[in-house]
Amino acid sequence: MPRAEEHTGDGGPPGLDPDSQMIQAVLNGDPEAYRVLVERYERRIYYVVYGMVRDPEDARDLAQDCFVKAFQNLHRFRLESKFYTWLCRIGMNLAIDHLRKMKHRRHSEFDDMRGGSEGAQVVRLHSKRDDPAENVSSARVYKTIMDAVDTLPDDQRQVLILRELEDMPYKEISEILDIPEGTVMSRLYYARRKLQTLLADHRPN
Amino acid sequence: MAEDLTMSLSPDEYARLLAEDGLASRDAVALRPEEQVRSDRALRRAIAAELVSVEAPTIAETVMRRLGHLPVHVSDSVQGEADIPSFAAAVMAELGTRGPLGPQLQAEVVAEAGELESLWPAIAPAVGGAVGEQPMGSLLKDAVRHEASEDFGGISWLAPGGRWRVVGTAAVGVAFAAAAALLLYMGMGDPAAPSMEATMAPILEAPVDIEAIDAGEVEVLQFGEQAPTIIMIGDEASRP
Repeated sequence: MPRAEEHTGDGGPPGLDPDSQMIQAVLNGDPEAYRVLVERYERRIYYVVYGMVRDPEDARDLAQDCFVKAFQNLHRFRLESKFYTWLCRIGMNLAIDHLRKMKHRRHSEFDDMRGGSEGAQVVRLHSKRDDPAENVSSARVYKTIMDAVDTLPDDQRQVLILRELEDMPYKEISEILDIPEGTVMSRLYYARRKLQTLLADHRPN
Repeated sequence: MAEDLTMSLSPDEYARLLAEDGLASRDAVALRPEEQVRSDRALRRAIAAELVSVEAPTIAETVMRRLGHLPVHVSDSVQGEADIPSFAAAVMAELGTRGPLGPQLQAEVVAEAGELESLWPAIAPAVGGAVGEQPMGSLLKDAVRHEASEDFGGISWLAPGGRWRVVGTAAVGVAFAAAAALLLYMGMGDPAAPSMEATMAPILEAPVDIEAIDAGEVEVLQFGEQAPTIIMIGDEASRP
């Protein structure tokens, strides 16, 4: 069995990009070639998923699920497409499913407790006026930023993460999320403006 | 960049978006309020920095193991008292390579039981084991004896040239009923060992409905929702 490092993606059928060459190798019976693809994209997929679920453990599990699911459906992948775009779509769908389950669970727990206030789901942003000393910490500012990101609707957050994380072109985001490019732009715009409103006291220098 | 019908941005909003994304011309940016451009871009940088503020774990090994593509044989994993993930991966790898139905069966097992690695903590107590406190091999042997009564006492474990059998038992509750656990039983190829029929009799004679999936060298027996699920496979590494 060839070792992962022996796969470079350069020796496959001509006309295919390195990712597609690896995929072709997997489909031809060399599953070890898949390791190259996992190693190539594991960090990027992890950060995309982490941006959505904001829990390191959940993000790790979902990133693994993403690669496993992609492998199981590899025969459906069209070689002329970009593998990472396809992978990202799977990762985003898994993250959204996960968030739905978590929301459902939280609601169930909330119902069970029969306690708390109506505003329990609202993320509270600390204000400079609340605690000026604490707000000089950049870590605190970052947390505040991500708390604000968490308040965005899932569809806006998806666009924002893909754009800010990788500077991904609008077109590629539209392919991943299967929405028009214009929708990508408007979601991105409104997400940022909402963040700026929420972070009015915390805008980084 | 052409707008499409779904874009709901005004021309000014559109221009601001392109400016903050660095996609506008220098002249177009110059027309924007300087403070706005600066703060818009600062926000982008701050968000991007936070999104990568945690360390990304390496997951390739785990992914490959979950896919059953580590070169570990079932026999090796037990003889070496392998950890649970390695054992589960070895079993799944064996399932996946068994004839045309192997991959299908592998997928079914995962669909029914979830990932075996995470399932094991629920299984171990059901077979009298304690996760992390008992070697895998002895736990498996004890569990099979427990399933099949004292008749299992004469079986020679890990005999050379023997044929491996992977046997599963139900975990706690109906949720894990089908293909829930994987235990290991060996002895078929050893002349001194009792016959398969004899050793399996205590299980096979259980008063339950048997649903069998015959996948060539892989057999799955389901003894009802609360009863053991048995998965039997041959292991290439231990064949004569």
